[in-house]
Amino acid sequence: MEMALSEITLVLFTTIAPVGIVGFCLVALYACIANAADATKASRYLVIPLAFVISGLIASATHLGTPANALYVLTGVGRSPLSNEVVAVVAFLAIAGTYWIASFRDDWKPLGRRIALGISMVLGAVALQAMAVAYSVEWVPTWNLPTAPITLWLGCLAPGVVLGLLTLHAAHLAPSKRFAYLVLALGFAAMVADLVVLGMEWGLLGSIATTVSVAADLVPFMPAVMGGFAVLSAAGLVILASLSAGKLSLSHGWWLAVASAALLLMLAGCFAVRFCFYAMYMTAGL
Amino acid sequence: MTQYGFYFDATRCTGCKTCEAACRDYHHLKSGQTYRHVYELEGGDWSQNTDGTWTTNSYTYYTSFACQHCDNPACTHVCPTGAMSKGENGLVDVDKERCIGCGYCAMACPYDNPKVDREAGHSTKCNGCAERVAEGKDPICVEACSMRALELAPVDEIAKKGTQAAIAPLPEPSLTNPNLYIKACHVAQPSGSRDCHVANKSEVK
Repeated sequence: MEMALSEITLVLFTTIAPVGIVGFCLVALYACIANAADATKASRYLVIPLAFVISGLIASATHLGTPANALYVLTGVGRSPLSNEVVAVVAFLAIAGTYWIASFRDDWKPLGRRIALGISMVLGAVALQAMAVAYSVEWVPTWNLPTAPITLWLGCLAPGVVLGLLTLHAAHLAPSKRFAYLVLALGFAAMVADLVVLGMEWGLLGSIATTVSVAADLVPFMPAVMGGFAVLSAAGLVILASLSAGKLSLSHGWWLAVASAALLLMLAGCFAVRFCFYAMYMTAGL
Repeated sequence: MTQYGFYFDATRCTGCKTCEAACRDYHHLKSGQTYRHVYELEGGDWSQNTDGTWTTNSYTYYTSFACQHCDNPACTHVCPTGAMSKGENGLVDVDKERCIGCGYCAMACPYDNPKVDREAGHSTKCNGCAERVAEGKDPICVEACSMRALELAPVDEIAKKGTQAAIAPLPEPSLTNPNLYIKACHVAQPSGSRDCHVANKSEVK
């Protein structure tokens, strides 16, 4: 737990930045298939998921001792997983952010918009993968498990989908019920799959021990965290499904407020899972 | 380049921790901080014989180590800025002007050697007292050891006196190929053993 508490900003970064990337991709996908007017509206509100990613990156930078030397990170690309992660996230933000600024022009051609959004989405996926494997090093056996990257991918999908739907509503766009149900079902499936993978991870921890550490003893609360993650994620998805069904006659502002509360619940669940990941830190030696 | 490494004679070490104290003093480290650790390992049990008498096979042994200046260091592999690198004599050191203090080296090292100095904003670690070695002197821990249990020398030489570190609590040497050679005492347990435990946890953490 010592590692999770001392690196709490990294826990925050790996919680909100992936959610922001998934939210961005959902809105971008919508903009690719929508008509020109809706695509413009959706694009201009991409700043909401981008703010999640930027906030995460800023949070992660606060744990650095000398951020002024950060440009040297470029020299480690290809060798250091951390360099790969930082450069991938910054590249995504640079391209996606540039598109967002450029989206305020009114002369976008549909093909050009799709190409720009497509590149941004690919860079988003690359950034997610770089974050997922940033700690996959052989000297830290509990972080080098095959389940670790999968849990990061699966964990951010459900709240990312909710963030995407929230962003579309903020832009006064009403995606069809079919679209909303489809992406929420995807989020639910990802949440269930994540629980299965986390269960496998809990099982794998039982076989990792050194003279000084026993992996399972580092996170005795992991089953409780998984339970909390399931409850909070399911609650958030049910709330969004109800909002999308239009069963609750809410004003635009209240719709956003309730959806934001649902997103916060889901982020809390994800945060707990990421905290658990950092808490299970131990090396192959001391 | 001649790769230097540490040699540790566990049959001589009494666990006095003078090496730790000398390291802390020479490098002006804070209380509780040191680049060298002395782990005290204990194990064994008591058993009753058929004639009612008791026999014990309990044991204690010490392992003194700092940075192993590995051939395949985890710290240099993960360092995003290249601040952590192998220099003259194969000793691993940190370039303070290049380090961002992210702490990934500290997370990855299975020997728990690099630490981030939050006030200074960069990592710090054992550099084998490279400046002393350049002057033809021994590292301060080696010089301070009253039992002459420590040595820093070219790996070719120390490999004749001991075997590559593979005793508890140290990790399997195949992970980083450490330049630490040990003459183990007869009760020493293999890397990863759960049959012994660290008896001085509060001292070494």
